[in-house]
Amino acid sequence: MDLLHNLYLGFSILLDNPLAIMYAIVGVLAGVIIGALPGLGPSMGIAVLLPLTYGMQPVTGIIMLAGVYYGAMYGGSISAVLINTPGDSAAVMTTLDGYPLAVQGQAGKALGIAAYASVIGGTVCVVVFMLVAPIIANFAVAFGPAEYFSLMILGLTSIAGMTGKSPVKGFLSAFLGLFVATIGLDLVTGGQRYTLGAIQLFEGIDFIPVAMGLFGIAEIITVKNASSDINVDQSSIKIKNLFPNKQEWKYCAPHIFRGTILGFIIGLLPGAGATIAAFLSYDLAKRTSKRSDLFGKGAIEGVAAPECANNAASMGAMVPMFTLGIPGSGATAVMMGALMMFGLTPGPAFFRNNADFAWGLIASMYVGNVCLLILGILGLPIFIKVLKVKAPILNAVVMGFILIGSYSLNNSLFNVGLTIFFGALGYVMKKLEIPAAPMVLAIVLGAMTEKSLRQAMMLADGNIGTMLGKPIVIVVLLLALGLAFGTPIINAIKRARKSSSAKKADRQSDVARA
Amino acid sequence: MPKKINKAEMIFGLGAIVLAITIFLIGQKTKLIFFRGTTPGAAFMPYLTAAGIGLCGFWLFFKQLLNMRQSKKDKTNDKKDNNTEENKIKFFKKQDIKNFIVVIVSSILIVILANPLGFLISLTLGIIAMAKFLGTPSWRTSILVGIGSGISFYLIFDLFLKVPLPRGLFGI
Repeated sequence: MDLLHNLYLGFSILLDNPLAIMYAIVGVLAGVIIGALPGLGPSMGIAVLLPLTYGMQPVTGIIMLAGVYYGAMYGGSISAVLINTPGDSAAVMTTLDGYPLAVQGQAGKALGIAAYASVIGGTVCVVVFMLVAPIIANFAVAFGPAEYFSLMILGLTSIAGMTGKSPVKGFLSAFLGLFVATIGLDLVTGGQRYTLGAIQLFEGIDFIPVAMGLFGIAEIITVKNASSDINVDQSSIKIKNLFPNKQEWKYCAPHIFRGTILGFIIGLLPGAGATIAAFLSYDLAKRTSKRSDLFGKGAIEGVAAPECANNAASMGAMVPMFTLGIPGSGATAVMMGALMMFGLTPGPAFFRNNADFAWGLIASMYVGNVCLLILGILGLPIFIKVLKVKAPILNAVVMGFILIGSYSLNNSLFNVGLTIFFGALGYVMKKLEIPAAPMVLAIVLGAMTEKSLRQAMMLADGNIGTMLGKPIVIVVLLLALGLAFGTPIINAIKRARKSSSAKKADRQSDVARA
Repeated sequence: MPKKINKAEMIFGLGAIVLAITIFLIGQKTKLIFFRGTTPGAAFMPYLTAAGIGLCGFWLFFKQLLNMRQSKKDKTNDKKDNNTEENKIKFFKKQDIKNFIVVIVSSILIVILANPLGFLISLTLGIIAMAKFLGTPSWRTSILVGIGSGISFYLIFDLFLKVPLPRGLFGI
């Protein structure tokens, strides 16, 4: 009953504030367009559009950014289907069957099922989010500084270990971010740290110029000037052709169901994210489908499975962010930074202290998903036109937006300089395959991590053993180690087994020959 | 097969080691305290991160150093393999370098000209330059895009969000 009451509260807040609904629509629309543009993902979309929320009420601002997030998750599928180029990494799996369907003249059907699957995945997961989030928050209320510190480490190690190809590069990115977070006045003593005498650095480096530089400018520099010639059979994207028929629904329904659950669970894990969710969901669908031979050649369920999973994962990623204060991805890290910019601190007490905000946001997610369905279908002709805009024009406009946006943060040209610096650094990192998300997350979590660590050490009289000896801390740190190093260790064991079995086989063949 | 060498990664690794040492040296010079009794001091976190940066940098540097040695060994063993370029990973692509220069130089110029010309005018000029030099064939299109963006930014940031943008010579 409490749940329904809270939801009612959320909807009444939303209805009292019609502007919030309008911003949810604007966010979804902007998100779909950004997601559809190859190379521009949800992290960049949120970072670039953040300045527009400066003057807004916190709830309205976050509703818009959440709209950008799940809009971009769907938007990625548009370019994946139409030009065989995923808008972001989470849409990579959608290209496998989406593009063949478009080649067969069924682009509308592929885009239609992508929209339905995204909305079903998103909406079901809002319900699960609503049920799960308060439970986790209640459990985490008793956490002290040591538990918090271990949670921050979990967030950082898992994102560092699981994004990118090499955990070492992920950790380097996270350490760089943690260092940047220490610049400014010390939390306890008030003394200067690494400011080099620059007054502008006394308050530290805000995460927004860093996120705009790393996600925005670096993407613009490396984006390919790919041809955006789209040859779509216009009749295939007529509204009536966007609805899958009964038989197609029959093929897709079980995969949407499984993909949604899988996506949500993977989204809950810090660092795992929508890309892994989409990949695993596609793999699961291929293994369990009766038409597995059609996968890769234009199976409609091959579009539905990854699309529902990536939207479900984006909802799942919001659970640890709101309940524990640990964002699970680059996009949620930027969103968390935005929450903090509005003076709200996500964590166990968030639902209790900001009930109006939290339930208003949850209600907006339902509205946002309905908007996504309507806009995703009705707006297709507009999105296709945007995709036809040449990359140089689009990049120049986005650059302008980034520069003026970073200025608006504190009305300071120093911030613009910082954004350019981090853009250049982001380009080098991108070329070296050093992921940017751990660095942004580390900057967002840096101050809290240091505060929790210092408080926990003080409470433990400087004894690290006492600090880390608590049961929850041990479990969380073990989980962090597992998430960070699990995959490389498993891969190393597999390699060792393979080489030993190959050697065995060689020996046996030598013996047989002898 | 000879291992691939990524010199850029090696240089970045070395840079990370230098940064770690610099963090430590600046901390020492500014007299940041690592531990005060049982309480971590202001240098505690920076030094921990410096250690992490240094270790990761060392790993990247050392890994490429090993690859380099291995590659040299393989080459001396197999004299037929005289194609040295094949083992190197190409870091810079022409298009990327061009984009990098256009984006970064234009952005820096926008910042420099923001006070004398006004932020909106310098931004408009910057967008025109970026659009043109990033690959738009005609100047006309670039100028239209620049002016259109400038007007949009004026409406959004100046009129709607009331951001006090630097106004230069022309008062815009």
